[in-house]
Amino acid sequence: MLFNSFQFLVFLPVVLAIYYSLPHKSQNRFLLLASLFFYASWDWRFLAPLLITTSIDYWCARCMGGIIATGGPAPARKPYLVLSVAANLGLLGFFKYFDFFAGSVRDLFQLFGGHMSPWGLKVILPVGISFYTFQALSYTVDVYRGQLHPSNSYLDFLLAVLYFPHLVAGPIQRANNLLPQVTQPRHPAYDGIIAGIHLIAWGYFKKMYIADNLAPLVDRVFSEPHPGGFQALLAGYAFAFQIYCDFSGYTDIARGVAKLMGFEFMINFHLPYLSRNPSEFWSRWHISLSTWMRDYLYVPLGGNRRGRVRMYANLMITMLLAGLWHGAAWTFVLWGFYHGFLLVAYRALEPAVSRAWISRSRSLNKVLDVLCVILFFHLTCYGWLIFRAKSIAQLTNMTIALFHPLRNMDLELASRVAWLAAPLVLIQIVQRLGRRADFLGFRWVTLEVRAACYAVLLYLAIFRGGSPKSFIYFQF
Amino acid sequence: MPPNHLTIRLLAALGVFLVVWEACARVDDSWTDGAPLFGVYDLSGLTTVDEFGIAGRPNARFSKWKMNGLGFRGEDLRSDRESILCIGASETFGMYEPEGMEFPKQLEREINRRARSERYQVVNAGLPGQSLSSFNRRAAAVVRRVRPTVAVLYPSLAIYIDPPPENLVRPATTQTPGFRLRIAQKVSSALSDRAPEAIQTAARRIAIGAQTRHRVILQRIPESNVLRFRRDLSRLLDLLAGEQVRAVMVTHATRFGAWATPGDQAMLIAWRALYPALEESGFLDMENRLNNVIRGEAANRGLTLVDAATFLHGAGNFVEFVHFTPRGAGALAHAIADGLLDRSAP
Repeated sequence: MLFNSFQFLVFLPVVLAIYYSLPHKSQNRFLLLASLFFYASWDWRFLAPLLITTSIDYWCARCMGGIIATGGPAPARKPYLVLSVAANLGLLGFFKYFDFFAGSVRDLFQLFGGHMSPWGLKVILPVGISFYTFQALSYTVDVYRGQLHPSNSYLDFLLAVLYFPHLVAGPIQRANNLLPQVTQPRHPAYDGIIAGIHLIAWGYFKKMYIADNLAPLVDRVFSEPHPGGFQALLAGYAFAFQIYCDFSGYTDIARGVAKLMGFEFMINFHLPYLSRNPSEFWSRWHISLSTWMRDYLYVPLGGNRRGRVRMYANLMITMLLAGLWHGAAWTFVLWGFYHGFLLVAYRALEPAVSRAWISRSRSLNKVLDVLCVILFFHLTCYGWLIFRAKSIAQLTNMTIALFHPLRNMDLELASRVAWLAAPLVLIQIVQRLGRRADFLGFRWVTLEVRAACYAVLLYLAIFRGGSPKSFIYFQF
Repeated sequence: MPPNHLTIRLLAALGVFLVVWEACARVDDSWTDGAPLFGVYDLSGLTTVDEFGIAGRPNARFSKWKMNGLGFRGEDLRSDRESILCIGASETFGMYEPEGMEFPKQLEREINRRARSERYQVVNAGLPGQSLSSFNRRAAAVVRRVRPTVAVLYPSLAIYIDPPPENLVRPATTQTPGFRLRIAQKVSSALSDRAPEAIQTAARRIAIGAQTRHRVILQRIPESNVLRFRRDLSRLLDLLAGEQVRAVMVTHATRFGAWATPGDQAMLIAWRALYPALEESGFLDMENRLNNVIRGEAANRGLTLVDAATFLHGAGNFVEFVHFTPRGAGALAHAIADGLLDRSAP
């Protein structure tokens, strides 16, 4: 059941109507049932791995909590943590990476003249598996570290993991953020509901109008055997806006729906294309994943505490795994490597560049900031070409094309990309200059003005949107 | 904010939302189709109802449809071309095919391609909801104006489930309809595009039930309706013969072919939603009996027959029950071209 489907259009009002009419405890039980129904609408068999791993996580956390309560030593908790991590990563590895690694081993074997017949499990990837395994892992790790009390109620824990707005494509919620919201009574306030409607309208506009209309333009360039340099450049821009609007659109709808029920999800995107450098980009793009990677991988690896070389290695490992998290393909690994390289290069050069470039003049600094934003946006766009490519050969093709920027000047494509991206760029500039996430959050914007703006956004989304497509991040 | 005040503000916001939505729909129509900002802009604007029944509105346009100066879909008549007249209803007019892919237009391209010249112009005299009896009343005027050498007859048969009384003279209603919410039409269309088939079928069942609560439901159409169709068809064929116009008769094809499978039930219900008086099981029986009338007339008069009902069916050729996909319209156009030029129908 996609957020942009007819089924969800019926599902959400029904769920909200029943939810508002119930007391807190029953609200939780009802939301759990609704979330199970939501997930089972893809394939009810996907519920089995989800319920098995969450049960293991709950039991392991309870055991670790018992050890902490009795003052037991930390090593006594370790087997439970290992079991939980093994169950979650084992599940992820089985469904998502088994065929990829089996295929890679076969390719390697054939590279050295060996012969191996093709084999693999060819299992269907359960929707949102990368998201919910990371959510569940953060819970057991936090309990292991003593940073979180284990939940006393299996059903509450299950709801925290399965809650339908974030279940299949995030934001990856930390248990220490969501569990207290599950256990405490929620009272959706007027301001929260207005903010929720704002996020939902803006999210649908980004997904259905911008992303779904850009998708065929991007597909067209990527399906050309010999794209021109100008087309490849435009494909990079177009896919940058498409994936941003697709994923942040989903996140906004999820956050908006959660707000309607009194839940508060973490922010997942904060004007990422206005970043001046890779560090800033990763603090603004898919924030729930990048902070997860920082807290549960980069910091445990040593972070920046063990010297520069180790820090560079840690950055690279973290980004390679972040790339692999997105999908079982070498292009994703390469995308992770590319961003790891940018981060390492930035960390290595940043002190010297700062000393040489940063002027005392504020206006000159602002000009430099704008230039950095433009430069880094283009580096990000090249990253998206890596991400979007179906194979290394296609990526090579696009990269070679970029060296001939005047070939195939497709002005029609350029105008369509500009037309679709313009509203986003304008609104993000308003957000940046107005320093507010809600671009309608000005005092002079009355409820009626808001209603008029939402009418325009939703009209364009519903009646001028592209042909409905699944969310890109659902495949991860 | 006091609760009463809040309720008023929320209602006002809802009102603003709906007004802006309607305004968006009108600006969108104006921008994309050149539609007027005010006034009615929907399919009904393409036609008018005069004392004889439904007629095309000259030079009207809506969405992809454009009427010529005579009130037919397509370009104006050209004096340097030999005219072929296509007579029918919405299947001929073209509902779902992109512009230029309706079967009369594809027929024009096909016969000109075979003739290796731009010799022919096919005039699309099909109109949504047009029955043979309605066309008969203006047929003489149309034939004298278009002066076709050939007339292709592809009559819609379902109109004979409940045909209007013969020789009915209605009061002319040539004035344009009043105000209509354009956004309501767009919402309805978006819902029918996106709602799952099961939900649409359930809604249609409810609607059929409501419409037939106090009516007699027919198992099959009465023989009098078949005779009425035969009379209407004969009258038109007599007129065409009198005007020296060669008639090419085409049997009416449906998605189902000779019989419906259990999987076709939802589509039969969709069809019946337009004609609730007849049981679903009666539709294909009606098609068969009325197509036999067409076959009989063609045989008796020695006319070219294109028996589309026997070879044209399936989901690839039909968007729903009777309206063509571009492929289906193309297949029919090819078959008619064969019949027209080779004088040997498939």
